[in-house]
Amino acid sequence: MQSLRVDNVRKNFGTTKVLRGISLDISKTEFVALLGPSGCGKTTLLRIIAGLERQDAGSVDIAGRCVDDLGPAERDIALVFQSYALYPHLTVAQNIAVPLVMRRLSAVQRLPGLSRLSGYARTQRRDIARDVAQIAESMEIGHLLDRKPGQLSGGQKQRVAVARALVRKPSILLMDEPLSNLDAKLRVQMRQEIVGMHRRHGATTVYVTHDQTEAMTMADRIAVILNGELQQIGTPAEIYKQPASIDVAEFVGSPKINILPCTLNTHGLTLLGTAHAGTAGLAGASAAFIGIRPEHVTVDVEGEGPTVRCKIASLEYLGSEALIQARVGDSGEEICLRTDIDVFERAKQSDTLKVRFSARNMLLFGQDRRRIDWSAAQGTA
Amino acid sequence: MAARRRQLAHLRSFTILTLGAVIMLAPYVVMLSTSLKSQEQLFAATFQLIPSPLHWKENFSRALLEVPLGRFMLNGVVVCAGILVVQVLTAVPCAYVLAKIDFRGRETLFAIVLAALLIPHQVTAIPVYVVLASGNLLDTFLALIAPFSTSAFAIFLFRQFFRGIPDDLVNAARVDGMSEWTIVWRVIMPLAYPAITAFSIFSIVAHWNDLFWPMVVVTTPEMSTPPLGVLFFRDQESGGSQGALMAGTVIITAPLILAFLFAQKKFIDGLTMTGLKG
Ligand SMILES: Nc1ncnc2c1ncn2[C@@H]1O[C@H](COP(=O)(O)OP(=O)(O)O)[C@@H](O)[C@H]1O
Ligand SMILES: [Mg+2]
Repeated sequence: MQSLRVDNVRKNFGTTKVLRGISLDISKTEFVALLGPSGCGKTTLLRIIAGLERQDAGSVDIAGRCVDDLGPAERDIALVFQSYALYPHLTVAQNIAVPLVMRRLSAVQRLPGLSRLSGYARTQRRDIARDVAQIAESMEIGHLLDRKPGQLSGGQKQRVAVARALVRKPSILLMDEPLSNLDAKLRVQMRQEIVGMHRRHGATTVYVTHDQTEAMTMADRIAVILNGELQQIGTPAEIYKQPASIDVAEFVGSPKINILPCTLNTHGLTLLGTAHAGTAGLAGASAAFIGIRPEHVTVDVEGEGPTVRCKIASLEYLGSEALIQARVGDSGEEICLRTDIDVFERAKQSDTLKVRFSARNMLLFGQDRRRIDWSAAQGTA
Repeated sequence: MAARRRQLAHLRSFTILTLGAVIMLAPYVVMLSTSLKSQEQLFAATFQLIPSPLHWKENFSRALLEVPLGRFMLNGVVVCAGILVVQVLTAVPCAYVLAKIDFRGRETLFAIVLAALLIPHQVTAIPVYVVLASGNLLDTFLALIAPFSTSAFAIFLFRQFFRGIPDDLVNAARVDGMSEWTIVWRVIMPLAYPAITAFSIFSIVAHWNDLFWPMVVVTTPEMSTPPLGVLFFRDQESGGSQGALMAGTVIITAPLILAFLFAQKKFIDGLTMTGLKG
């Protein structure tokens, strides 16, 4: 069932086009990561979905209802801010209770001391306290309820912010780089906790991040946004293995994919000025660039795919594996390969290397930088 | 050598600060000293800081008994509290809008507020007086309070302070279901506490000590604020008893001095947070 629909949303700030027509369809209980470099408009899109910012064109539907004219409170969303945005003057329990108090009690009933007079306000207050305790328990912050945000660590603030967002059981949970203020170790731990929390609560989640590892490890689907445009949306594996364009291929994956200009047509493959015969499997395809990920550049003697001789430029030892930067011939193109330690040890002894681009894993891109789906084409050929 | 030079620098700034303090405090000291003197001691050939014998009993009892000083002080409290409460209630929402809500013309509005800072209230005294007089409101608390119900300075000070409150906090409140009014009272006000304290001192000092406006709109001792009341006292005695007059001024300035000593740290914190302090 569809839960959030963003239809051709545009936004300019002055003359800068921040969002250039973004469309997204997210189904219920799905966890979607918006991935893009900083400044690409992720936060702006999230703020538009939340109703904190008004789009210049396009529309947003939540649970099948157009929400363009509704304020943030009426959209049944919750937002976890990058800075957590906890109320500094309220205790943790009060912070988490705010969304409930605002919805379940009227302005008069919220007056301090009124619950002593009104039975209704009293029961409401009791229910709120129960709900707060429950969510606090599930986020493991039950023991912090009486503290003020100033007395919490970064990870604890993070949990409080998530608890405040979830306590009301919103139909959509929006998170804006919630882990970017945490240290590396805590980030890994919180990553798993947020995924676990999502599994338990099942709220449709839109998770903004510039960190591809977060997107890859947490999301059901990733929406890659570059320069205010949605480049591709798909599962982490699709994004990695079948990137829609050179830009997506280069943005996702670390170290960066190798992109080399080539000529591929019915006459065969010319790569880095050398014609390669016997490039079986590429028959029938045509392309202007090939892309090959560092782990698919091998030193295997056997196998399919073009081989080139290159000069080793630098070696990086990473423990379980190693990275080798090499310069190809005299064209000056650099390629990166990820190898195991054996190859690394051998490479240290010499200064040239013969590498093979695994044909099966080679990505082809056209002149327009978009990927060419040659395996499908090949199937029919 | 370096330590020596540092000591010298310390000594220099200490001297300058002391000099400044002496100049600022001298009138108060003379006031205190005068309040202890009889008429003869006051006009004695040599100046004595601490006279002997002390005449403080006569002076202070006259100040307290001959004019309704208690009444003046009570009026002062009502007027200052009234002005402060109304100023805070009007300035906080204005400052919030200028600091946190984006709309066309916001900068122009803020420029107008800044311009209003430059207009002394004496300039508008006559029109305001005419309005109050035509409404038969002279000699009332309303006449003393209403003209100061908004303060450009408060709006300016609070706006600077609110700009330091993260936008995300306000956005979080909006997502949590608060209206803009609720945000002002439930989120902004509690956080603005240091700025409000700092402003309170400015406002209270200004209006407690104000002589000009009470002189314009008050004609009876019953409505007099402390400085004006002390003047009534002088009129009664046709200037013949400076000792008692100064005893009166000692009494009416004492609450301010005590309040400042009490709130000094908060006051300076508040100024620091608004970025007004150098
Ligand atoms: N209120 C604003 N006024 C002007 N420009 C803005 C505003 N908000 C964001 N921008 C600009 O829009 C672009 C995208 O911002 P943002 O959505 O915050 O990016 P991201 O979250 O992906 O890092 C940035 O270049 C930023 O400078
Ligand atoms: Mg952002």
